[in-house]
Amino acid sequence: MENSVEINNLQKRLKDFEIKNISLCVPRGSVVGLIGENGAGKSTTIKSILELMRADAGSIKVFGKSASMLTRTEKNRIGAVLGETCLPENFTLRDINDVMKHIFSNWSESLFFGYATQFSLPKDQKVREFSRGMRQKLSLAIALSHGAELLILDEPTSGLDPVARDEILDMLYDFMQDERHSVLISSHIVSDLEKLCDYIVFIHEGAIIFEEEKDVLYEKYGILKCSEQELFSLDPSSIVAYRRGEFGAGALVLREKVPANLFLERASIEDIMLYYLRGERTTNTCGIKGVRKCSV
Amino acid sequence: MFGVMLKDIKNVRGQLLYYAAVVAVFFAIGIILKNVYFYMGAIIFVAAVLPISALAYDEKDNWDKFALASGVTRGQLVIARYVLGIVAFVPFFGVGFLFFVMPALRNTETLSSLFVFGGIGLLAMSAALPTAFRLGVEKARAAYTVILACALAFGIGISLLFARLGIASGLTAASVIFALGIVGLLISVRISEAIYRAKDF
Repeated sequence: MENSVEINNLQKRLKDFEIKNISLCVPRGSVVGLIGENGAGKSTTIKSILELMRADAGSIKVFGKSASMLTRTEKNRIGAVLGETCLPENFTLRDINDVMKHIFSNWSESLFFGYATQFSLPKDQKVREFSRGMRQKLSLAIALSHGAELLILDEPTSGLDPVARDEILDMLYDFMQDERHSVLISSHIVSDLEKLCDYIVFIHEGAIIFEEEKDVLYEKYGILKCSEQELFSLDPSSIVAYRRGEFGAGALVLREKVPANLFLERASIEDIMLYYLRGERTTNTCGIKGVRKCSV
Repeated sequence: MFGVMLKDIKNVRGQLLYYAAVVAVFFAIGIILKNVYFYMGAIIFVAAVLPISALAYDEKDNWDKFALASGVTRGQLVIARYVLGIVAFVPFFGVGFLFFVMPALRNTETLSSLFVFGGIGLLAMSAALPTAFRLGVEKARAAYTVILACALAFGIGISLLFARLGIASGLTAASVIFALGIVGLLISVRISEAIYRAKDF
């Protein structure tokens, strides 16, 4: 399968943070979600893909070409929504349209104002008067109005109410109806990614913990709720992490390694993330490194 | 790059009108007093202040992040700010030559003053923009008074030195300062590009 984005051994050292050998890929036609806590390295990874930061080592390819070598036309095939709005606050939608016409070679005025109407964005109001939700919708409207094939979205739903988040997710569903389109999206609102993504990449402290197909994660992991005694009678290699509670223990376990007669709840992506970050480990705990390899 | 420039002009259009009005007042004072220095002093100030104002908006809006993610190169972002400074400077500088049309000011001293102050304006811009790219707009604004004083001292110092040594006429010395301003601007673009290339956003 062709990859829209391919990162190999990305390293970037910042003042008090480091990205360590990150490798991931975004196959064409798929949605890849980057999950992790605030400060895990999601934005640094995204900024490196967009060349907002220079990597110390490693390679980043976008559409099969080194990200640093992309021409303007090729870069225009990427639609980016960054954490902040990053648009002139003094501008109205008309001003933004006037400028974007000259920034993007495939800018579509009709698409832009179409999205603006769909998102109920006022045409004559300045961006600084927009709410956070309106600003995010505006950023997304811009990203979708110049024929982008790849959307790179850094926390696009952060700080939005559930209705606004749902609207944005709907837009992304529509975008993905074209099989040439791909999305790389980061969020710490894991439930949003769960609805949308084909693949999940979990980053923690600048390193990838796992990179896996979402459905495989569901097949692979389960939540076991039982007494501590029952839990520790299991093969330790079946327990990824566990948490003690008032009424027993909960554990993230590998389905294939626990006896078939035990009832396992479905592990959501959020469960997997939380158990990994906050759960305790047995001495012989298993690794949860993903197995998906980039297909070049 | 036209998109970036258009964005800058839309952002600073209010200030552009304000500074044009200020410069017009200084022009009128210059005409009434038959003195070119008021007017040229004003345009030195405007030349660097406008691109720095544009940068201030960009810093506040995080525009550079968006522009870079959208295919605008770091070089284009740098050059756009210099072009804005020049676009503001050249018409004002050109209007300065109207003083030379006045019979009372039609002399080499007026012409020399226009070139000396024009050169000082370019030198001030050459120093102010890399400072703003490196340190940010707030610090660059604070440093601007010092930069302006240094550029003035440099320009006037060179003129006096040439006069004392009798190397060249006032007009030649003024032309040298103006040429230094142009060379300074070219070097300054290179320095700013190097600063921007190394910058993380």
